[in-house]
Amino acid sequence: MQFELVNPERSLASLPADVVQVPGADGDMTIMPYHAPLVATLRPGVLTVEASGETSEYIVFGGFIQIQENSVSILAEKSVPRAEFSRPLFDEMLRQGQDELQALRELSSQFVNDAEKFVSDVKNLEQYIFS
Amino acid sequence: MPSLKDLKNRIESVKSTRKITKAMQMVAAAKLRRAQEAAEAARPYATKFNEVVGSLASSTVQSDSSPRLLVGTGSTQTHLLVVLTSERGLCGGFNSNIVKKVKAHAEKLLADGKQIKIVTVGKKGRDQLKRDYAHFFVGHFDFSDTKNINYSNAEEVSRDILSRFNSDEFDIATIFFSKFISVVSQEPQGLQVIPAEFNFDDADKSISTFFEYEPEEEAILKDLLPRGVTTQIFTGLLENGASEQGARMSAMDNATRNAGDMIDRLTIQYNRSRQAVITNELIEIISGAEAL
Repeated sequence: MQFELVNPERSLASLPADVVQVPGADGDMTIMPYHAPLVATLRPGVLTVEASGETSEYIVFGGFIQIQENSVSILAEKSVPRAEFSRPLFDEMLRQGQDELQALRELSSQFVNDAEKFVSDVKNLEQYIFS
Repeated sequence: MPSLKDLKNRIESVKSTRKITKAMQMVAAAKLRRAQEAAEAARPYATKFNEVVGSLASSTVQSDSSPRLLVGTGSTQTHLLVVLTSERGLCGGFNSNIVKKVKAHAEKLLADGKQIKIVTVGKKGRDQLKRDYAHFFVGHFDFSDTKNINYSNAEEVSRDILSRFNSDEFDIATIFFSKFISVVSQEPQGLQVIPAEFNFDDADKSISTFFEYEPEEEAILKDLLPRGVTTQIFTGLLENGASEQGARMSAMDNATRNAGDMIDRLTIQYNRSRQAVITNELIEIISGAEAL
């Protein structure tokens, strides 16, 4: 199946893949060829792509996945290959999430849960990547 | 009649101006290529994004619980005009064309009795709008320190706009920017971003596929629509970047050519007056000799 990963600034990957693991908003998903058409949002996490025996990992933030006609497109606002992911970038993410959470708490809006989830997702990522 | 010395000075000064405009043209050409590449690279994301959101938006039933970013506030009273212009001048009619478009739009809204608010991005547009519309200004973004516009710049702008929308400061938001067509032609345009408008003709094709949604459609839309605003602003900023460099390039090309013409004209004038001076001197010598 055709796999594509794009962020707003450039296209990161476009290749035929065998297996794709995505951090879906409601839980991780493994996508095999001929998956049913799907649209889902992503939570901050690690995206794994297996293509011809090689596994590559990407860190994705805020985006969604669309599966259609045996092609998987992932559009993520922030996505970087794992090797390029650095501490400053992570801190920036976490700070942004926390700022948002703070702002929403002040407004006592119904989105507080979402923001809380975002922050805890980012923190989980920290353990995964940096430990 | 300017003296020879004056003419010489003028020629020198026009020559150095030509050097500067020539250099600016070449810099603009290099930057244009980069800006075009950036705009090109961003296209897949924007296209795909609009396709998905468009098909989502057209397939969900519009109800009271539909996201306000999609259906609007129910009023069209207050308009927010987001004006994207450049931070630097010397780019021909680029900024003026955008400002002209904004003014036409603003006048029409005001004539209809609507209220307007203006957010400016880029110093040049702000300066030009200040005279007539300063009392409508509600915000300004300065990206003069940013070398290459990136997505986080667009995020900054859209976050501000969305928070204004959430606090009911306006009903409809339109962004103004210049679409890059070619080096000699950039088309200023207004694009409504809130409530979102989609070209449903494009979306119809993918509608035939039945998608599973996770979480449900409405939650996805709620998540995606704010990003859609950011994406559109980002596209606007990138188009503007390419347009600005294109406009500057052709403006500087004209300026260089004008300077060349001017130098030619001044040189002819200089040579003629030098010849006149020589002739005069000869006449004086000859008539002096004859008088003896």
